[in-house]
Amino acid sequence: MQRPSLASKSHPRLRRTLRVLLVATIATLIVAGCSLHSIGVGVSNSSGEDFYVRLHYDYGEIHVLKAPAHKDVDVVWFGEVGELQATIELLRPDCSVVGSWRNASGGMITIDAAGSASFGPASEQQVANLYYTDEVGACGATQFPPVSPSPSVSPTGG
Amino acid sequence: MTIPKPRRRWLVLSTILFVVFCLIGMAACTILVTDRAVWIEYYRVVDQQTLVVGADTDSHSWTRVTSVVETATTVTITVRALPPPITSPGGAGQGLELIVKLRDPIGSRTVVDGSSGGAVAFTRCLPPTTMRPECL
Repeated sequence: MQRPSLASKSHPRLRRTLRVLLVATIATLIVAGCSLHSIGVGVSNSSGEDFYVRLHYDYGEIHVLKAPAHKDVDVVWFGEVGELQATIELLRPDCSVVGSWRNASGGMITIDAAGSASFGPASEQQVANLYYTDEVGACGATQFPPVSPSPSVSPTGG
Repeated sequence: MTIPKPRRRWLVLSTILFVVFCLIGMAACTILVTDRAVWIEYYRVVDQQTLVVGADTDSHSWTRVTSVVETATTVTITVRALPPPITSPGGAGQGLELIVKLRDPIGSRTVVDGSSGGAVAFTRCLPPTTMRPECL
Protein backbone atom coordinates (compact mmCIF):
# COMPACT_ATOMS: atom_id res chain seq x y z
CA MET A 1 0.00 0.00 0.00
CA GLN A 2 1.35 3.41 -0.96
CA ARG A 3 1.75 5.92 1.91
CA PRO A 4 0.06 9.28 1.15
CA SER A 5 2.78 11.85 0.50
CA LEU A 6 3.18 15.16 2.37
CA ALA A 7 2.62 17.05 -0.87
CA SER A 8 -0.79 15.58 -1.46
CA LYS A 9 -1.86 15.88 2.22
CA SER A 10 -0.36 19.05 3.78
CA HIS A 11 0.46 21.30 0.86
CA PRO A 12 -3.04 21.80 -0.55
CA ARG A 13 -4.29 22.59 2.95
CA LEU A 14 -1.39 24.96 3.57
CA ARG A 15 -1.90 26.58 0.20
CA ARG A 16 -5.61 26.99 0.92
CA THR A 17 -4.88 28.49 4.35
CA LEU A 18 -2.35 30.93 2.88
CA ARG A 19 -4.81 31.88 0.16
CA VAL A 20 -7.55 32.53 2.74
CA LEU A 21 -5.14 34.63 4.82
CA LEU A 22 -4.10 36.63 1.76
CA VAL A 23 -7.71 37.28 0.73
CA ALA A 24 -8.59 38.25 4.32
CA THR A 25 -5.64 40.68 4.47
CA ILE A 26 -6.55 42.29 1.13
CA ALA A 27 -10.21 42.55 2.14
CA THR A 28 -9.24 44.16 5.47
CA LEU A 29 -7.02 46.69 3.71
CA ILE A 30 -9.79 47.53 1.22
CA VAL A 31 -12.37 47.92 4.00
CA ALA A 32 -9.93 50.04 6.04
CA GLY A 33 -9.23 52.24 3.02
CA CYS A 34 -12.90 52.65 2.19
CA SER A 35 -13.83 53.54 5.77
CA LEU A 36 -12.06 56.88 5.44
CA HIS A 37 -14.51 59.58 4.54
CA SER A 38 -13.71 63.11 3.62
CA ILE A 39 -16.38 65.19 5.30
CA GLY A 40 -15.15 68.49 3.82
CA VAL A 41 -18.12 70.52 2.65
CA GLY A 42 -18.42 73.96 1.13
CA VAL A 43 -21.42 75.90 -0.13
CA SER A 44 -21.49 78.25 -3.07
CA ASN A 45 -24.70 80.19 -2.70
CA SER A 46 -25.42 82.28 -5.80
CA SER A 47 -29.04 82.84 -4.87
CA GLY A 48 -30.46 85.83 -3.06
CA GLU A 49 -31.71 83.57 -0.28
CA ASP A 50 -30.03 82.44 2.93
CA PHE A 51 -29.66 78.73 3.59
CA TYR A 52 -28.41 76.50 6.37
CA VAL A 53 -26.30 73.37 6.08
CA ARG A 54 -26.87 70.62 8.60
CA LEU A 55 -24.24 67.96 9.25
CA HIS A 56 -25.70 65.01 11.04
CA TYR A 57 -22.93 62.65 12.14
CA ASP A 58 -23.87 59.01 12.65
CA TYR A 59 -22.70 59.09 16.27
CA GLY A 60 -25.35 61.70 17.05
CA GLU A 61 -23.71 65.11 16.80
CA ILE A 62 -25.56 67.69 14.70
CA HIS A 63 -24.04 70.95 13.46
CA VAL A 64 -25.99 73.62 11.60
CA LEU A 65 -24.09 76.35 9.75
CA LYS A 66 -25.10 79.42 7.81
CA ALA A 67 -24.81 79.64 4.03
CA PRO A 68 -25.72 83.28 3.41
CA ALA A 69 -26.92 84.67 0.09
CA HIS A 70 -24.23 85.42 -2.53
CA LYS A 71 -21.43 83.86 -0.42
CA ASP A 72 -19.12 80.87 -0.76
CA VAL A 73 -18.58 79.35 2.67
CA ASP A 74 -16.60 76.54 4.24
CA VAL A 75 -18.96 74.39 6.31
CA VAL A 76 -16.39 71.90 7.50
CA TRP A 77 -12.76 71.96 6.55
CA PHE A 78 -11.77 70.21 3.38
CA GLY A 79 -8.68 68.90 5.10
CA GLU A 80 -10.80 66.80 7.40
CA VAL A 81 -10.61 63.12 6.59
CA GLY A 82 -11.64 60.49 9.02
CA GLU A 83 -13.72 57.56 10.00
CA LEU A 84 -16.76 59.69 10.73
CA GLN A 85 -19.79 59.39 8.52
CA ALA A 86 -22.43 62.01 8.11
CA THR A 87 -25.56 63.06 6.31
CA ILE A 88 -25.32 66.52 4.81
CA GLU A 89 -28.52 68.49 4.39
CA LEU A 90 -29.29 71.83 2.84
CA LEU A 91 -32.04 73.65 4.71
CA ARG A 92 -34.02 76.83 4.46
CA PRO A 93 -33.94 79.01 7.60
CA ASP A 94 -37.34 77.54 8.56
CA CYS A 95 -35.54 74.12 8.71
CA SER A 96 -37.31 72.65 5.68
CA VAL A 97 -34.96 70.31 3.80
CA VAL A 98 -33.98 71.35 0.27
CA GLY A 99 -31.49 68.56 -0.41
CA SER A 100 -29.78 65.68 1.37
CA TRP A 101 -26.53 63.84 0.63
CA ARG A 102 -25.27 60.77 2.42
CA ASN A 103 -21.55 60.22 3.03
CA ALA A 104 -20.68 62.58 0.22
CA SER A 105 -16.92 62.56 0.02
CA GLY A 106 -15.60 66.09 0.13
CA GLY A 107 -17.77 68.25 -2.03
CA MET A 108 -19.42 71.52 -2.78
CA ILE A 109 -23.11 72.33 -2.57
CA THR A 110 -23.84 74.71 -5.40
CA ILE A 111 -27.01 76.77 -5.18
CA ASP A 112 -27.82 78.55 -8.40
CA ALA A 113 -29.53 81.92 -8.76
CA ALA A 114 -32.93 80.21 -8.98
CA GLY A 115 -32.32 78.47 -5.64
CA SER A 116 -31.90 74.87 -6.88
CA ALA A 117 -29.03 72.93 -5.33
CA SER A 118 -26.60 70.25 -6.48
CA PHE A 119 -23.65 68.47 -4.88
CA GLY A 120 -20.37 67.83 -6.64
CA PRO A 121 -16.62 67.84 -6.29
CA ALA A 122 -14.94 71.12 -5.42
CA SER A 123 -12.03 72.57 -7.36
CA GLU A 124 -8.91 73.75 -5.51
CA GLN A 125 -9.73 77.29 -6.67
CA GLN A 126 -13.20 77.09 -5.06
CA VAL A 127 -11.82 75.67 -1.81
CA ALA A 128 -9.19 78.41 -1.61
CA ASN A 129 -11.81 81.15 -1.83
CA LEU A 130 -14.23 80.02 0.84
CA TYR A 131 -15.26 82.23 3.76
CA TYR A 132 -15.65 80.94 7.28
CA THR A 133 -19.20 80.83 8.51
CA ASP A 134 -21.01 80.64 11.83
CA GLU A 135 -22.80 77.80 13.52
CA VAL A 136 -26.37 78.37 14.59
CA GLY A 137 -28.46 76.95 17.37
CA ALA A 138 -31.39 75.90 15.20
CA CYS A 139 -32.80 72.94 13.26
CA GLY A 140 -31.64 70.37 15.80
CA ALA A 141 -28.08 71.61 16.39
CA THR A 142 -26.63 69.78 19.38
CA GLN A 143 -23.66 72.00 20.25
CA PHE A 144 -25.37 75.39 20.52
CA PRO A 145 -28.44 76.49 22.42
CA PRO A 146 -31.27 77.67 20.16
CA VAL A 147 -31.02 81.30 19.04
CA SER A 148 -32.99 83.30 16.50
CA PRO A 149 -31.43 82.83 13.05
CA SER A 150 -29.63 85.90 11.65
CA PRO A 151 -27.19 84.85 8.92
CA SER A 152 -23.88 86.72 8.72
CA VAL A 153 -20.35 85.81 7.70
CA SER A 154 -16.88 86.87 8.72
CA PRO A 155 -14.57 87.38 5.72
CA THR A 156 -11.65 85.48 7.20
CA GLY A 157 -11.51 82.62 4.75
CA GLY A 158 -8.95 82.02 2.04
CA MET B 1 23.86 11.68 1.02
CA THR B 2 20.26 12.11 -0.05
CA ILE B 3 17.54 13.36 2.28
CA PRO B 4 14.35 11.31 2.15
CA LYS B 5 11.55 13.05 0.22
CA PRO B 6 9.11 13.64 3.11
CA ARG B 7 11.91 15.02 5.28
CA ARG B 8 13.04 17.35 2.47
CA ARG B 9 9.52 18.73 2.20
CA TRP B 10 9.41 19.40 5.92
CA LEU B 11 12.74 21.18 5.57
CA VAL B 12 11.37 23.43 2.82
CA LEU B 13 8.22 24.09 4.83
CA SER B 14 10.18 24.98 7.98
CA THR B 15 12.44 27.30 5.95
CA ILE B 16 9.38 29.08 4.53
CA LEU B 17 7.88 29.39 8.01
CA PHE B 18 11.18 30.75 9.35
CA VAL B 19 11.26 33.41 6.60
CA VAL B 20 7.61 34.31 7.28
CA PHE B 21 8.31 34.69 11.01
CA CYS B 22 11.36 36.84 10.24
CA LEU B 23 9.23 39.09 8.01
CA ILE B 24 6.55 39.37 10.71
CA GLY B 25 9.26 40.23 13.23
CA MET B 26 10.69 42.91 10.96
CA ALA B 27 7.21 44.36 10.38
CA ALA B 28 6.59 44.44 14.14
CA CYS B 29 9.92 46.23 14.70
CA THR B 30 9.06 48.77 11.96
CA ILE B 31 5.68 49.41 13.58
CA LEU B 32 7.32 49.95 16.97
CA VAL B 33 9.79 52.44 15.48
CA THR B 34 7.46 54.42 13.18
CA ASP B 35 4.25 54.46 15.23
CA ARG B 36 4.18 57.95 16.76
CA ALA B 37 2.06 59.86 19.23
CA VAL B 38 -0.10 62.56 17.68
CA TRP B 39 -0.99 65.95 19.13
CA ILE B 40 -4.68 66.39 19.99
CA GLU B 41 -5.81 69.88 18.98
CA TYR B 42 -9.31 70.02 20.46
CA TYR B 43 -12.21 68.01 21.72
CA ARG B 44 -15.99 68.29 21.56
CA VAL B 45 -18.50 66.75 23.90
CA VAL B 46 -21.19 64.80 22.05
CA ASP B 47 -22.79 63.47 25.21
CA GLN B 48 -21.50 62.90 28.73
CA GLN B 49 -19.75 59.69 27.72
CA THR B 50 -18.80 60.46 24.12
CA LEU B 51 -16.09 62.86 22.99
CA VAL B 52 -14.76 63.72 19.55
CA VAL B 53 -11.05 64.55 19.45
CA GLY B 54 -9.39 66.41 16.60
CA ALA B 55 -5.88 65.13 15.92
CA ASP B 56 -3.15 66.74 13.87
CA THR B 57 -2.22 63.98 11.43
CA ASP B 58 -2.39 63.12 7.75
CA SER B 59 -5.00 61.10 5.93
CA HIS B 60 -2.65 58.31 4.86
CA SER B 61 -1.59 57.31 8.36
CA TRP B 62 -3.46 54.77 10.38
CA THR B 63 -4.52 57.02 13.25
CA ARG B 64 -6.35 55.66 16.26
CA VAL B 65 -7.01 56.24 19.95
CA THR B 66 -4.58 53.96 21.76
CA SER B 67 -5.47 54.69 25.36
CA VAL B 68 -8.04 56.44 27.51
CA VAL B 69 -7.14 56.75 31.18
CA GLU B 70 -9.84 58.14 33.44
CA THR B 71 -9.29 59.55 36.90
CA ALA B 72 -11.56 61.64 39.13
CA THR B 73 -10.14 64.89 37.70
CA THR B 74 -8.73 64.04 34.27
CA VAL B 75 -9.32 62.03 31.14
CA THR B 76 -6.00 61.31 29.43
CA ILE B 77 -6.35 60.37 25.77
CA THR B 78 -3.49 59.16 23.60
CA VAL B 79 -3.72 59.13 19.82
CA ARG B 80 -1.07 57.41 17.73
CA ALA B 81 -0.49 57.33 13.98
CA LEU B 82 1.25 54.70 11.93
CA PRO B 83 2.42 56.02 8.56
CA PRO B 84 2.16 53.68 5.59
CA PRO B 85 5.42 52.18 4.31
CA ILE B 86 4.92 53.94 0.96
CA THR B 87 3.48 57.46 1.08
CA SER B 88 1.81 59.29 -1.73
CA PRO B 89 1.60 63.09 -1.89
CA GLY B 90 -1.50 65.06 -0.94
CA GLY B 91 -2.40 63.79 2.51
CA ALA B 92 0.02 65.71 4.67
CA GLY B 93 -1.03 68.09 7.40
CA GLN B 94 -4.70 67.16 7.50
CA GLY B 95 -6.86 66.88 10.55
CA LEU B 96 -8.69 63.83 11.68
CA GLU B 97 -11.55 63.44 14.13
CA LEU B 98 -11.94 60.35 16.27
CA ILE B 99 -14.65 59.24 18.64
CA VAL B 100 -13.74 58.46 22.25
CA LYS B 101 -16.12 56.58 24.50
CA LEU B 102 -15.73 57.19 28.24
CA ARG B 103 -16.47 54.81 31.09
CA ASP B 104 -17.84 57.61 33.31
CA PRO B 105 -19.51 60.93 32.42
CA ILE B 106 -17.01 63.67 31.49
CA GLY B 107 -18.50 66.13 34.00
CA SER B 108 -15.97 68.85 34.82
CA ARG B 109 -12.90 66.70 34.26
CA THR B 110 -9.97 68.05 32.24
CA VAL B 111 -9.08 66.31 28.98
CA VAL B 112 -5.33 65.75 28.75
CA ASP B 113 -3.32 64.88 25.66
CA GLY B 114 -1.38 61.72 26.48
CA SER B 115 1.40 62.58 24.02
CA SER B 116 2.22 66.06 25.37
CA GLY B 117 0.72 65.96 28.85
CA GLY B 118 -1.04 69.27 28.19
CA ALA B 119 -4.71 70.11 28.55
CA VAL B 120 -6.74 69.80 25.35
CA ALA B 121 -8.84 72.80 24.27
CA PHE B 122 -12.60 72.40 24.38
CA THR B 123 -14.66 73.55 21.42
CA ARG B 124 -18.22 73.33 20.21
CA CYS B 125 -17.43 74.03 16.56
CA LEU B 126 -16.25 72.10 13.54
CA PRO B 127 -12.90 72.77 11.92
CA PRO B 128 -11.70 75.22 10.67
CA THR B 129 -13.42 77.49 13.21
CA THR B 130 -12.80 75.40 16.33
CA MET B 131 -10.80 78.10 18.14
CA ARG B 132 -13.19 81.01 17.64
CA PRO B 133 -14.17 82.68 20.95
CA GLU B 134 -17.85 81.78 20.51
CA CYS B 135 -16.87 78.12 20.12
CA LEU B 136 -14.95 77.79 23.37
